[in-house]
Amino acid sequence: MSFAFPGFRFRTLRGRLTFIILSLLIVLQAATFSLVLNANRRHALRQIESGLETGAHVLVALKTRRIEELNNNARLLAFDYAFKQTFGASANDPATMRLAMRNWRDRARANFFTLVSLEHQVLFDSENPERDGKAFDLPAIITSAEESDDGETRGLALRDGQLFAIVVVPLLAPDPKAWICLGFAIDNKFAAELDVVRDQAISFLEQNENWKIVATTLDVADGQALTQAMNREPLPSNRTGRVDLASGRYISLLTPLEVSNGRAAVVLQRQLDNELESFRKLERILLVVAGAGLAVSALVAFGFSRTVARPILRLARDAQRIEQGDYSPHFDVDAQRADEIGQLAQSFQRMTAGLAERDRVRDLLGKVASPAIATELLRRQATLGGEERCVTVLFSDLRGFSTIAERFPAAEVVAILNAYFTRMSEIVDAHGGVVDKFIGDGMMVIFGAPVDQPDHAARALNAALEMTAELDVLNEQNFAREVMQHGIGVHTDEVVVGNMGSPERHNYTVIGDGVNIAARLQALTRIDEYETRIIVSDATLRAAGPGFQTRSLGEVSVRGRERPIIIHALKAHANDHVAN
Amino acid sequence: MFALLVLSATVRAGEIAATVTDQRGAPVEDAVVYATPRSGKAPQRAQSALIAHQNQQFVPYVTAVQAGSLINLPNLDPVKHHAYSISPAKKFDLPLYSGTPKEPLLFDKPGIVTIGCNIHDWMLAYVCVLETPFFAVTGADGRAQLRGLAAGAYDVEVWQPRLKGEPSANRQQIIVGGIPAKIVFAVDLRPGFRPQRNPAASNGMYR
Repeated sequence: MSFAFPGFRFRTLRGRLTFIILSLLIVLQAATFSLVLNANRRHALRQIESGLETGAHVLVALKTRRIEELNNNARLLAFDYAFKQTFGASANDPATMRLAMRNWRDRARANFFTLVSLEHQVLFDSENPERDGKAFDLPAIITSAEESDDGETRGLALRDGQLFAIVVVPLLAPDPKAWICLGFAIDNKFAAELDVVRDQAISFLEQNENWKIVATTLDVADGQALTQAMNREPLPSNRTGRVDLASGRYISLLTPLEVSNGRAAVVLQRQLDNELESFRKLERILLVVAGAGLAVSALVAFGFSRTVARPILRLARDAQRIEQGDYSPHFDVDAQRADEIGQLAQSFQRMTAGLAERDRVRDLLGKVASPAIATELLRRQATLGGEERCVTVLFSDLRGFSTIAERFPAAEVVAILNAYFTRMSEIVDAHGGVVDKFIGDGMMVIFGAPVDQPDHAARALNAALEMTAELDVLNEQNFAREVMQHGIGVHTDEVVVGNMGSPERHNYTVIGDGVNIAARLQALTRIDEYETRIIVSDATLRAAGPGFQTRSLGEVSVRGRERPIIIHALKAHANDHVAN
Repeated sequence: MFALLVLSATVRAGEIAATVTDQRGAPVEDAVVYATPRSGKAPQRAQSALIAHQNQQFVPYVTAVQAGSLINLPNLDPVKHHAYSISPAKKFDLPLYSGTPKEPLLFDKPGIVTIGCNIHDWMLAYVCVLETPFFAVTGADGRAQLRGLAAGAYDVEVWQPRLKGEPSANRQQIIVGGIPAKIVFAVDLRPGFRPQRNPAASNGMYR
């Protein structure tokens, strides 16, 4: 699985794992949060609506109770003997009657008291004597009383632009003599009396042409805003709606009121922001919880990623060590783990062991054979067989070493020999030559194989000169406690190179006439007449090109060769100053 | 014609057989049917009557008398009663008493007198004080028999506590002479209500 993000690449596995886990968690958290938030909001609105509905029920109950109270007061009045007596005498004494009625109006907690005849004429009106003798202005409510079983009725009615709750009962003396009509105003005072539910506004509105507030617990500015809102777009009946008032947003519930001579409604309102405050608090807590959850999740994700990535990182570090050639066992990863990491660690350990083994072989090869040969052998399939190549073969031999070997202890002999060979080998290496083998106190060196070198002859000559110079240095250091001399023979020829021996054990070497000639030339340096430590064949000198000072030594016949070969004494590089 | 002859056998001269029904044809009880001589001269036959307090009710419910009659209100109950009327035709006030008042009340003004008891709201009686002595109150069958009428022309009217409008609206003229008279009234009644004996029990607190 690969996660690619445009413009962004993770540099570490741990980063990528952390990112993926964290992204998933964030999506999950966000989804949960938004779901909870949504449910919370819906619940909040439902709460407000249900609060308003409850408020409406409470309001209706209170209003009914208040009207019932008025009705009971009216009923008591209907049977009151003193009032009946006053009424019986009222024809001759209207002033007394009106005063008694005002008294009763106050006792009944009403705002007006009108006595209506059975023929619907106003007999007395507590407030306005001008109504006396005229037709009652709310005949429908009297008719309703007449049609009821007990002669009583109650309801709402508009009178002079004011909304009243009105009750009608018959004045019984003892049979109905008149209609007692008591009413109280639905005004701000009454609205305040009903306002028992906290954080709730009550407004009574009547509609003639436009909606108008007749009573409210709102302040003036809010009241005006409500009137304007209702006239712009009336609230739906018995369903909640939103109204923006001067002091904020309100959820409103309009309940129509049954009015005998008009239209009116009561509007209950709750301020949305107030109501949502507790839910907002819950939202904030939720947000904090979600944030904390995310932070903890992030830590867990980070830790988890580390746990998963750590063994991989360790393996990577081990791999780096191995790349640098350090095979020592560092494995931090528990290979006993049952999971894929454990399997990987096991494979890694086996692979490391294999690599270490191969390197050890290569090292050994490098020590036994020349590094170039060893590399070539490792590079190629180590199979038997050879090829013809033109190479330069160099033979060197330390003179008089056998007498040293007799005189000194073996360890010292080996030390002297090793010192000599070490320095010589370094020079051979430096010139790209390959030490084919050490032969007693001599060595056989090949230039031009196994690695192709076009200038193998020149390299061989340079090496020969340097080896001889180095021997002088060694002598100055008195490395063998007496002056040592060596002879070097160099010859260039076509030879066979390759792996020779049995399939189980073989050497990379060169064979052919040329090898023998080179050995023979080395032997010729022992001839004092030649007065040289380095004898090279003409073939080598030609192959090496200019750049060397030589002295011709004439021809020499070599066993196995029909024609004698031309030999030279190698003196120095062309531009070196030579004493003789 | 045959039916009339059959009926005439049961109605004697000087009598009026009246039947009162309501607008739906049901017989109307407690209706006072009274005949006033068109000549305007009604004989004075004032008498006395009783309206008793019995089982915390007035008995009878409707009483008709000629103006000038005396009515006493004996209390037959073991508890006291306070009878009163604020009707213009006869106002009186008999504060709590037991037994029979020493003096009966004189009803000398024609009109309807409603009698109540101040301490028992449901107790109610009507006295229909008439100028004429020719009247009768219907029974449960809605029938009333007016007797002892002199021959002549009469205005016959009917009154009932729940009568809608004035009695004169239902006035009928009849000649009482050799043949017995029969009269039928179909009257409009108001839906009636009376104070209940136990308002709380029947109405409850809320309706």
